[in-house]
Amino acid sequence: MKLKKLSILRLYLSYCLLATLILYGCITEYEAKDIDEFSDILVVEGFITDSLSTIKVTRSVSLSNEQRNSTNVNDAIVYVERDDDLIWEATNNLFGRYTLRIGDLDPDRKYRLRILIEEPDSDCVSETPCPLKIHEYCTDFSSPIITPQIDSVFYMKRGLGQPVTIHISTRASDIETQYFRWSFKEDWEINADYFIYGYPYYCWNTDTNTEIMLGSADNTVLGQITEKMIEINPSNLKLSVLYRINIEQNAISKDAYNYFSNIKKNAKEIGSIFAPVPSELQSNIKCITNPSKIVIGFVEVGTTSYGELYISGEEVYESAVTLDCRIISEEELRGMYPGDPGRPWFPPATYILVTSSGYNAYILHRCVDCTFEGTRRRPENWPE
Amino acid sequence: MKKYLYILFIFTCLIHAGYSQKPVTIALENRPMLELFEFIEKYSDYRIYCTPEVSDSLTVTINETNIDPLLVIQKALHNTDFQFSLFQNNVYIIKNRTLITKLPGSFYMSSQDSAEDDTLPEFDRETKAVSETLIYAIGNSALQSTTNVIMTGTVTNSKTGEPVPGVTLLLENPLTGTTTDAYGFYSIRLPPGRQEIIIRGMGLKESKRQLMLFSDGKLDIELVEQVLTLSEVTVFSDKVDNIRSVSGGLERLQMRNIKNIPTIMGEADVIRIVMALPGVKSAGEISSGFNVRGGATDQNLILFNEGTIYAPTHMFGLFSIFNPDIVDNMELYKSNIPAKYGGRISSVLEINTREGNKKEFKGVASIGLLTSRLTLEAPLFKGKGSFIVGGRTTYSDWMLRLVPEKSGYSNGSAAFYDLNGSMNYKIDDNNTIYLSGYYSFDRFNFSPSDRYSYQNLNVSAKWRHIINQKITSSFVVGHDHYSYANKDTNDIFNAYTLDFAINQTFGKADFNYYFDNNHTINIGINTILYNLNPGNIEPSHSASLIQKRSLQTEKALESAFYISDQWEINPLWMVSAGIRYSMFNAFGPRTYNIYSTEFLPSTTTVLQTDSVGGGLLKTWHGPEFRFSLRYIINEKTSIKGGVNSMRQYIHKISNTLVMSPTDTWKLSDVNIRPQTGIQYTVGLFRNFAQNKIETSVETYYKTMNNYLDYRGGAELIMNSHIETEVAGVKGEAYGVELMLKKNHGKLNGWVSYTYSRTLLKRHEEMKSMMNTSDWYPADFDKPHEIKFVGNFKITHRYSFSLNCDYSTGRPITLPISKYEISGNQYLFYSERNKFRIPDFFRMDASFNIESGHRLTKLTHGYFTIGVYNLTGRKNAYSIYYTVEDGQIRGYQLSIFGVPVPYVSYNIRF
Repeated sequence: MKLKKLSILRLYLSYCLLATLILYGCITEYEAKDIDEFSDILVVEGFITDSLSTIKVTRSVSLSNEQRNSTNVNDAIVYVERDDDLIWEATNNLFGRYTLRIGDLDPDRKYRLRILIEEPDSDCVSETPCPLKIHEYCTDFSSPIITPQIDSVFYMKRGLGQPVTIHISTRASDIETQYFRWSFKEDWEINADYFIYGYPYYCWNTDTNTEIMLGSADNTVLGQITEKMIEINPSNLKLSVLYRINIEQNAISKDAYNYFSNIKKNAKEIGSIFAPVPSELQSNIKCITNPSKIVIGFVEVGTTSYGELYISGEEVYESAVTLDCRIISEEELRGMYPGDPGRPWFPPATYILVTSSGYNAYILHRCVDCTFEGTRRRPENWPE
Repeated sequence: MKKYLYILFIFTCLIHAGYSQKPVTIALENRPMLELFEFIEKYSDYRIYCTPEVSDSLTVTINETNIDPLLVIQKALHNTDFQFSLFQNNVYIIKNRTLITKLPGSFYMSSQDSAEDDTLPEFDRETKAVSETLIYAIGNSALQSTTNVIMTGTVTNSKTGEPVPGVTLLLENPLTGTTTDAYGFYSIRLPPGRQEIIIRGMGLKESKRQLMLFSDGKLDIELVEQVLTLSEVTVFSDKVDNIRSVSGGLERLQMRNIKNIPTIMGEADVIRIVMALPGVKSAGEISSGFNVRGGATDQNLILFNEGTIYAPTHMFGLFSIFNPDIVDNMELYKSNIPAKYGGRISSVLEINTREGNKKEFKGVASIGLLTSRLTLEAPLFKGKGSFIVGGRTTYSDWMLRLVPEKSGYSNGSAAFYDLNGSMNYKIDDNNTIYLSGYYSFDRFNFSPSDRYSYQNLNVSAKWRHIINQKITSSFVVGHDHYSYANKDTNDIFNAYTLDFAINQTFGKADFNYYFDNNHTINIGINTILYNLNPGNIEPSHSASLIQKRSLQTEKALESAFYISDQWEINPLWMVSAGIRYSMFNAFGPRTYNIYSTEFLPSTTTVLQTDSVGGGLLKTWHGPEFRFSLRYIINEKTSIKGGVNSMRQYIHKISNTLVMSPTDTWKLSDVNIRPQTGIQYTVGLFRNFAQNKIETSVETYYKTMNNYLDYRGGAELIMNSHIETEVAGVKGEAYGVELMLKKNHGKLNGWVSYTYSRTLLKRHEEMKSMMNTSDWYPADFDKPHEIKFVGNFKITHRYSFSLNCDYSTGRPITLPISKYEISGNQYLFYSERNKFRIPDFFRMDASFNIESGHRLTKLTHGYFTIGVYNLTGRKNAYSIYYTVEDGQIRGYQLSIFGVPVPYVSYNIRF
């Protein structure tokens, strides 16, 4: 449960509303001047888990960089070390992604993440360019956190026109596992409106969460926690045929929870009337070779629990298609798109010919080709 | 009255051109009175008028050396049926009655009064000194004191009968003075004999009273308000007081004098006026929390009719909770805080309401765009008491309903109301009872599923008792309450209601001992019993998984004993020295953690968990010193200095920039130490142009200890171990305030410049990884500040007011880098308050029209038309960044970014 301070965005919006009513100006763009920007802060994200562990290593970029929001680090050596000196090295999969499989985590052992990167020493001032040096980053050794099972994943819809909300329900197993972080992957099937031979009818699409999803059971009855994962508009195509959500649950420490909720606060609530003043918390990853280096991220060791939910479109979908998916005669189409007089007539590019046996009929391409809304790549384990 | 003049048989003797009333030496043995009169007329410039009855039939025996001639007459007439009156240099002697030598003060105003009673007009029925030329006899003429006599009394306003605080009574030779207290009461020691006292006060014309002092006695003085009320506008301070008073850093304002200062919605606002004073800052334009000389917003003690106010604003800071029609005056102590106040380390803002008209029924009504108010006042118990009641409400819901539906906020609403009521009853000359009550309620929501409300409640009863001529006392008991609630039903599984409350019951006993003219001693005790409910949470939906939970209530007793002496060593040197010893006892039952002392408290450094039953949990105590000194360089210049130390046992814990209505308050306990502060001040005060222009330079240096700052990412609501989310920081503030004030003339107002800094030092372990420097500027650290408040009287009916405010932009924490986590962009922020928002400038203007001044008119209108932010400058309230379509954009939020016109109309009846 999250107890929030005053809902900030709302507050300043209402000020603006009050303001606009009397024609006040409210929000204008702001270009910061004379800010010594910072770049190349190491950002490490991921979990060391009992299945596939993914660690992503990137660097921050300066605010004024409009090309990208981060740079990937692919030349690092990333490995997990156990307190009995056992080592698992991760393989780099490009895009800054490093993966490794440890197998079952030994609850009696402690694990840590180590990263070695060759980078310029930020302390050097006189020499340009700074000589490269191997820097070592690591977390403290810690015991794996055993994540409780997901009790259920369910959805709710309060009535016609109301959104579909998907919730996850779990239970803190003890005082140590009261804090959770979730990530999810959505898959959904999309069908074209008409099946026409030669055009794709079955498609799928996929998405992952971008929000940092956090939950805390420290204020709830018996440590039970039900948290909303996502809210989907009932007319969203995601729900049109079949929708699936796969949720991964990781119990995290209180420090990690505070760290990520602070990042969320910094991103969401800044700048308005009752906004908390932004601040940065200490990462659990430290640079051993240069302790003054800043690192962003919080990587912990623990097991992962999984949950899955299918939602059939029949139960929830409220179509709001605005496309005119009729098959229309050439005559009608010519009436709609007359073209230039005196030149040969061609149907508009958004239409395709569906019959041509003397009587030409057309339909919107979108209505028969599902790749407008998805891909033909079938998700893993998608039901027949 | 005047007919007495005609029935006089004018007896003129010699005419002597004299220039002063020199003392005379006279010895007569059973001689006719005429001989005495001739003698006096010869050796002074008095002329004596009397009936032959006096001059011929009476004989006199007198033997005096170096005596005031009037005293001789007084002695001569002693034990006869005759009295004398003085008009200019003319002495009239008539039988059994003194002569009224001046029109009564109420002559112009209470014409209807005199009709109802043809015996005597009011001023004579009530023994109040109204006349400037009449000689008032003090004490028993049979007991002619040779040492100084004590004169006490009350100064009241002739129009409303209400007491007038802060009036100076001054004797020029030897220079002696006193000031009326909050009840208009004064006590002064004067040499016996003929004296003339000068009376000066805020918004009052200088006035005199002629006295003949025999022995200790009483004189209630009624001050005549001028007929043309506009001429009193914006006389902001007692012009003599600023030089003579011992304390610097004191701002005293009368509500009726500040109504012309332009404000946002055209409503005179106490808190906003306070913010226009030098040395007072706020973090943002709409914030109602204010910072005095580098102090935090929770370090100001706001006293409203003796009760403590925790949430001084309505509607997120747009309005202050003080109804401008009810408020009489306010005093802001910025540095030299009298020993009788304590409990906050930065300042004391004392706001008092009016007592209510003691002479007739009156009312004020006001209708505005957002609020309406109504105030009624009337005498009670045949003028022995009075009451005043007032209410204010808003109807701003309509505004939010106008908002387009798709914005999602058309379901929002915000509203407030407040109610004031107070009454007083004068049992006799020495005993008065006062009752006062206040209630305010605010609610707001921006969606039907997320609602907030908060309220203030204050009640108090006061007994003021004059023990004798030297000692006055007051006893107050009261109760203060502040609470807020939040109900969120947005997500039914996490739906909750949350509430928080502060309750405090207080008692105060205060004694003022006018020891002699050189010493005024103030002694008293204060006690506050706190009962804090730091939080209750319960599910607000049947599906909610929220655990019903209450944080442990916090009980504590804060007690203080104080004694102070204001000592006028000689006419040049004056000292005020006080000590306040405060003690804070936190009581159980409570379960609490004991932390390792090596580290900042955190959940991982808990050594053990202890608990106490109903008994004592922890005691904090310590002395507070209040010392100030004044030296008069010449009659227009003085220098003042002071050292003040303060302690504070209740702390606001907030991680937001401005005071928010859902801020949590916390009492000191085992893990939260009291805040302490010391302020050193030196100031030079000088008046120019017959005291019409006041100037001052004041400097201060202040240190603060154990001020609670939150740690990064702190969770402050419903936290049972809040000490792990905060840390005591040190603070340092210094500054210089230059002030130029003009009190009289067509143009009046003030201009001030302030240079000040406020720096905080974070606890070692709290330094964020980015923070390389120890000290960082506080949120309201705005080094340069220029403020101008002015009013120009075009005629008596029309006036123009202008208000300007410039300051350096406040510090802000800005992002300096960006990064991605799970494909989403995030910003990395600089160390706290490393940057500044653009400088702030705002100019407001208003035009005020007072309706005609015909006194017989039943109603009296007051019309103001104004523009807030005349130049339309888009002042940054804050800078924030959002991610839009993969791009990070910076925005500047301005609260009032264009000129905002307003109109307000008040009717007095």
